[in-house]
Amino acid sequence: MLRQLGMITAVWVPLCLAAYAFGSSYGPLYYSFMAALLLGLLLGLWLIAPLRDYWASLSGRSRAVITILTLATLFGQLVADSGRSFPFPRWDMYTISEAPERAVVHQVIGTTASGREFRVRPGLYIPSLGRSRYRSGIETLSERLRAEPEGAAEARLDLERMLKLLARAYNGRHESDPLTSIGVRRLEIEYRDPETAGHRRAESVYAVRIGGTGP
Amino acid sequence: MKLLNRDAPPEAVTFLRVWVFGLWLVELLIHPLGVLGEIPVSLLDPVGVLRAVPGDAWGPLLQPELLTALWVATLALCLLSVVGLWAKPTLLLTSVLLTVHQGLLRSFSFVNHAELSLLLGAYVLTLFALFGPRPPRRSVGEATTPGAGSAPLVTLAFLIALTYSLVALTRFANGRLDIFLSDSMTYWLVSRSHRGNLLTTAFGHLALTHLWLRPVMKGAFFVTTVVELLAPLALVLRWFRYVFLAFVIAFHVIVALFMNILFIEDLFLLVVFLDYRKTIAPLLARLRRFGDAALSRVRPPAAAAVGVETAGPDERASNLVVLKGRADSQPDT
Repeated sequence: MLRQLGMITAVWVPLCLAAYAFGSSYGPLYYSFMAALLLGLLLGLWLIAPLRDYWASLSGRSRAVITILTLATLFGQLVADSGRSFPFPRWDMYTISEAPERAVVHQVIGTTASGREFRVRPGLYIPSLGRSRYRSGIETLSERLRAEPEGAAEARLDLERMLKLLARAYNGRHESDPLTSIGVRRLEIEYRDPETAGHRRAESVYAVRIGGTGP
Repeated sequence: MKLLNRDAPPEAVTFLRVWVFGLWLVELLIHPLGVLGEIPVSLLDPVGVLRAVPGDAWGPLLQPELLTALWVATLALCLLSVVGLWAKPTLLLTSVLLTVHQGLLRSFSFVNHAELSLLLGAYVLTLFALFGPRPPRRSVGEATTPGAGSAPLVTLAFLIALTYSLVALTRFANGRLDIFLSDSMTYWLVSRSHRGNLLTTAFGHLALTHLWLRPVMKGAFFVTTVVELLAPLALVLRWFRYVFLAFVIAFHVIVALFMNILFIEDLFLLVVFLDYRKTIAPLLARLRRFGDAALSRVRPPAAAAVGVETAGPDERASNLVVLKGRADSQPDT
């Protein structure tokens, strides 16, 4: 078994070097720590006797398939930019402590012909852009616009395009009471101090009239 | 300790193929690509191999008609993969197109993990179909070979367990104890609940007014992370498998209700942590019996009695036995 553990380590070192060369945001020391942790996980898995026995019972081709997929998954875990290593990203959901002063949320607010104001849920009308895909675009453009209110002409146009896209999708389903305006609201919510928790400050980042232009 | 599904029969591969690509069919139907042609190119940040496409080429490529054609092709190939037609080339092409589909969606937003376990499932099935051992043919009446269908099922379960472990390990390494003790969890609950993905406002906002919820969620976060870290043990320890499944299902449901994040594919993929012979196969057999019974009820009685035009060979034989039995029981007159 020692020989096999040695072989795993021998494969692991060049893989780590390749992943580091491919791109890592960690410094060399921390990267080495992470690489050692993952090697520990791999060796730990190897110590599970039924997994080891199963591996021994497999054909060479099956072993090759499992090795490729496992190493690709681990390679992605070592690369900083999941966009580069896609479809083998880093599995790092909620792995960094983050507790800013206020929670910042961007919401899409629509107003219909009858005067009803409500939050539009993009995933409901453009499912392909659900799962925060639409929201992330709106958030990026809104922050660009806030950072440079006068100069970000392109961000303004793009934001308008995104909002109109959603408005069209909504109005396609609600012809009796269509949206007449749609915009982005930026919310800052107090949450840390129990005394002030829930206090919020809303700011309209951008709004567009449907059929017209401008805030 | 015994490895889960080590003795899975060859039918298990068929089941997994239909399950994974069936889920992909639903995914694709919900997520057409044409709409990407209407999104500002300024939001485009290609991922993976899509970065090899020159910047100037994206304009002509991101036409709604072209994207819709790509979507339709992926959908058709996925359907062929479910059916199992031209298995090897179909699976290979489907996996490539699914990667492009998912890559394009992420190129306009960010690399989330929602469908990636399912994509791993497609890769596992494709690679085993292309390079894995050929499952032994079996003649009628021969018992299935134990373990002949185990490799894809075991590999996918292993990889999914590995991803859970990776998340937990990275959380402990990067976030250390601070991630569980600080206000991070409250921040996520409050911010995610107001995003309005699934519910207009998810229950996470209750953490603002019901302060007892904060330590409860922090504690649950820690315990869930420990269970995630130990996920590979679910492959070999039966009691831990139940603990893991209970925790992971509860975790996904709570995250959906409180944080507006639904990993529905991951929930469906937990099927690989079930014992194929003891749980899935009997369930499939029961479904088949139910389907057969429903079909026989639908079939016109005259045709069923004649049993020639509508019945299959096995059924025809059994009908003949019944007719023969009836003839035998007729008294000689």
